[in-house]
Amino acid sequence: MATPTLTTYITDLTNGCTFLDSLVSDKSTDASRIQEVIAGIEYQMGLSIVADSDEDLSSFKSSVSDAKTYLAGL
Amino acid sequence: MSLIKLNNRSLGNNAVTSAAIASNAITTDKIANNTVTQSKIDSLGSMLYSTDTSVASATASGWRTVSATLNLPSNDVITNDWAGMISCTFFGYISSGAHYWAWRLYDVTANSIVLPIDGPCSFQWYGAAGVGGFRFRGSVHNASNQPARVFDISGRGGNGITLEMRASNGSGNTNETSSQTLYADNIFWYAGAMTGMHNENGY
Repeated sequence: MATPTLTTYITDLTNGCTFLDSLVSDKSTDASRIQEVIAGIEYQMGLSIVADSDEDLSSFKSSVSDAKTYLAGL
Repeated sequence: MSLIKLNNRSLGNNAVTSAAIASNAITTDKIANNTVTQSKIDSLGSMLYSTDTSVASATASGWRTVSATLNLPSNDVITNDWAGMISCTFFGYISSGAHYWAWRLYDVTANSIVLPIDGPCSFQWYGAAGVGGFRFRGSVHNASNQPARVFDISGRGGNGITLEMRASNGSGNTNETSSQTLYADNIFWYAGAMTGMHNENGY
């Protein structure tokens, strides 16, 4: 049991976005799964420890944006 | 003068018949099924016993401990005041990725899984044999309030129990051998049988 740090959340976001990118590149048709992953990434990006940090979140936002565009076309 | 129009026909149409009475009769069976017994009374209600509102995380695979150890009182207290039960509810999620998650309570003193009581509390419980646990409820990848579950702690007096989470399949009935980060927050322990859900303030 450990207390999560900013590093923990950034690692999560990095891994989550890699997984999300793979769903898009693999042309997954599982819309609900894509939505679940997006919701989780947006949730962690919204946590104050992340949102109020100096971390560059632009690549995470791009992954989410690309996935939403892909999702809209399904 | 005829302010109230009654006649034999209307009375006849609305007559209380023996059949109608019989169909609504209170029978011995109905009374027996709803009898309030001492054991039922004992199993109702709960008391807030302990809380842990800090966020905990675990990253490795396998069952991970996500709460501090809760030390149970004596068997005498568990039997006479807790009706042999403890309840647990919390917020939990697993970071975004391929896996879903499941949870259970574990007796770290006796090294055994704490089983839920029968009935609705066992809905979507798969963990008796250590494979899977309670399937998560709500959103899998962001903090979601888990329904309170009631566990049988008879004979576990003085033991320590913990909340455990692990990566699973979507149904919570198969363990995954790798994981993403697991999170637990607002863990509430209740002595006795607590049902339903709670918010961050424990209501």
